[in-house]
Amino acid sequence: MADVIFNHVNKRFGDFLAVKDFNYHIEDKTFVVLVGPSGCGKSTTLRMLAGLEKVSEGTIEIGGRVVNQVHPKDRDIAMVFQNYALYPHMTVYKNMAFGLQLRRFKSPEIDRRVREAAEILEISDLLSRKPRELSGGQRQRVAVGRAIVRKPAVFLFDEPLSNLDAKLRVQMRGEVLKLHHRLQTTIIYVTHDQIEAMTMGSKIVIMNKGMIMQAGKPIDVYDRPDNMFVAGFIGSPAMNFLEATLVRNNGALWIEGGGFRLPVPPSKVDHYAPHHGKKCYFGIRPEHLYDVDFIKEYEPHSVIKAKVELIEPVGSFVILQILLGKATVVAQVDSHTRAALGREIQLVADMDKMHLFASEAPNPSLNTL
Amino acid sequence: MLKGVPILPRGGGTPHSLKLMKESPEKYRNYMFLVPGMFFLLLFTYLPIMWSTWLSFNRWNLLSPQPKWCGVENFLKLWNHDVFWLVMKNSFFFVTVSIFPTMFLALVFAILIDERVKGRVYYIYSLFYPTLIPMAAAAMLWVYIYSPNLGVLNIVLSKFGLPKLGWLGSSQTSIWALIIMTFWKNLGFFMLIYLAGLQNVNRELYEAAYIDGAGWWRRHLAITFPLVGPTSLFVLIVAIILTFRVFDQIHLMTEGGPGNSSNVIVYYIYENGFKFFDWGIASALTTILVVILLFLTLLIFGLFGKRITYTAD
Repeated sequence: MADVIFNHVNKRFGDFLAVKDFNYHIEDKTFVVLVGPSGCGKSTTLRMLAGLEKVSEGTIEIGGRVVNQVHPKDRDIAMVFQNYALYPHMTVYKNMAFGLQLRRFKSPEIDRRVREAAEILEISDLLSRKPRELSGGQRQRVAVGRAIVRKPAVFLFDEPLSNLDAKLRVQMRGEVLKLHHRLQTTIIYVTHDQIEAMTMGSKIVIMNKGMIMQAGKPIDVYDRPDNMFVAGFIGSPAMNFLEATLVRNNGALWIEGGGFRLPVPPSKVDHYAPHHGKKCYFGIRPEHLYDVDFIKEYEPHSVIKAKVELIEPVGSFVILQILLGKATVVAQVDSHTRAALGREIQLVADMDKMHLFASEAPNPSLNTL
Repeated sequence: MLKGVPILPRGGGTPHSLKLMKESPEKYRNYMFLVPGMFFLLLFTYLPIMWSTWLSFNRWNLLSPQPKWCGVENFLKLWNHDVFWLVMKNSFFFVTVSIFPTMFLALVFAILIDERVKGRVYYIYSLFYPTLIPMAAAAMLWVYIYSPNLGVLNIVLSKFGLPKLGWLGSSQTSIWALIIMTFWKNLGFFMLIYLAGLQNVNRELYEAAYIDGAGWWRRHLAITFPLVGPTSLFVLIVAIILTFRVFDQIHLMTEGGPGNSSNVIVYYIYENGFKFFDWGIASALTTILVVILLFLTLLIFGLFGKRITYTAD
């Protein structure tokens, strides 16, 4: 069992508080992704867990044992680094065997483990090569191999795919997931890439400015973001935010803003009614705005009309930038859309998927208030 | 064959002469950039080496004011001269004894400074400061330090109840005194080169090894030492050349004495050339020095050049 528990962990660098009150329980065998923009404290959190940074306040437990004062080698962890951190003067075999040699494993055991890991990662034929003779993807596999030979209770991955090209990154993503399935150990994975977080994590922890903004299953975070930061960070293209006011008219609740007036769906009226008259941010994801030509049935009041400013065909869909009032809104519409630059388009907003956020920082969702 | 008609290679393609004509303007322009550097290198390095090599096969001294070809006479004279062998022994001793401790400590200090020890800047300044002092001033300073009665070193020794030594005046200690002084003078310079070399070593390697359980010593043994290989190769060659060429401190502190006990090859060249006015012998010694340095450089490159791991790979 290797649950990892952060108990109100802080990390200070001088006066700067890099990680603030990080309090989270990672259950055994889960794949948890720490995600956030650069400087949000995700790598620092991982490094504290690894023992590469000291914890300023709070405690970290691995497998029920507080490890604040435990040497990294005794924490039962293995880490895969962003730049692979392969010893350039050693062969792949020696790179993988190094940690075991330090732990005074006997040669036959080292050999068995290295070859077993090499087989899992399909790098058996590379064992006598040096890192400079490997491609980026192969180096990544060796780095993972070096971690798995140790058979640790917890794997730590610090942005391990960020140096790979897009295609290879997708491939390696799948392989890391397969590895998790096979090894059945706790993995804590740091990335700034929200797609990586969404696709890999069984749980994701979104961080900003050293704090946890929201944690949960990826789909829950996507569907019910706690605040505007999470709503904007998770999802690609990012959610649109428009300044708006909640108004009541003839018993119905409306969202009014520059160039649009949209009805709050009956399912959400009770929820938002207490906030009527307040200024807020209306949030809608680009994939929840549809080209009217491709919708059979829709609520006529949910249609917005706006001028097309930019068309970006991606292949399977088209990304439109439209001008709504003074704000630019992004919509992800069917690839066969007849939208034309400079012309007006009618888009239907799926109001069941709408979000409202308070206008004051930290802009919490009005759902959670 | 018709003149002016280029021969076409079999199977067609552009004739070689035409290719040259096509490429030549840019090619020659590129070579032109090398001309000023090559000119001065030729004038001040290669020509003097050639001139001195030629002179080493000539009798040229006060009795024979015009250089006169004498074959290997100068080399034979040296071969049969005891002082030459003493000088060679001293030179190799000086190089061997001073280089390795200098390199090792330079690397250790560079590692400590690179790990951001407290008072880092103080260490850098205090270690590098001797490199900045002119050799003449440094030599005078050390003459005072080594002074038998007033010298700091003997005062310190006597505080510990140890006998006072005539550091520069004794054939037993004079070369050691010069080696210590040279070590002090060069340490900071090599430390700085190592410090630059350490910047190329990826920090993550140390972290990976730390997590793997490698202690301080093991981390540096397994990572730093192999990965500063290119720097060490450079430092080794530069240190050998610099140490073989020691002159100023010897001239200012011992004049090679007493009894040639601290005489080394460059000072011996100076003595032969400017004290005994035997330029033929001085040239022969210079040729020997060039051959030794060339041989050692090639040997070191041959032995270590290919084994070194370049971290940028």
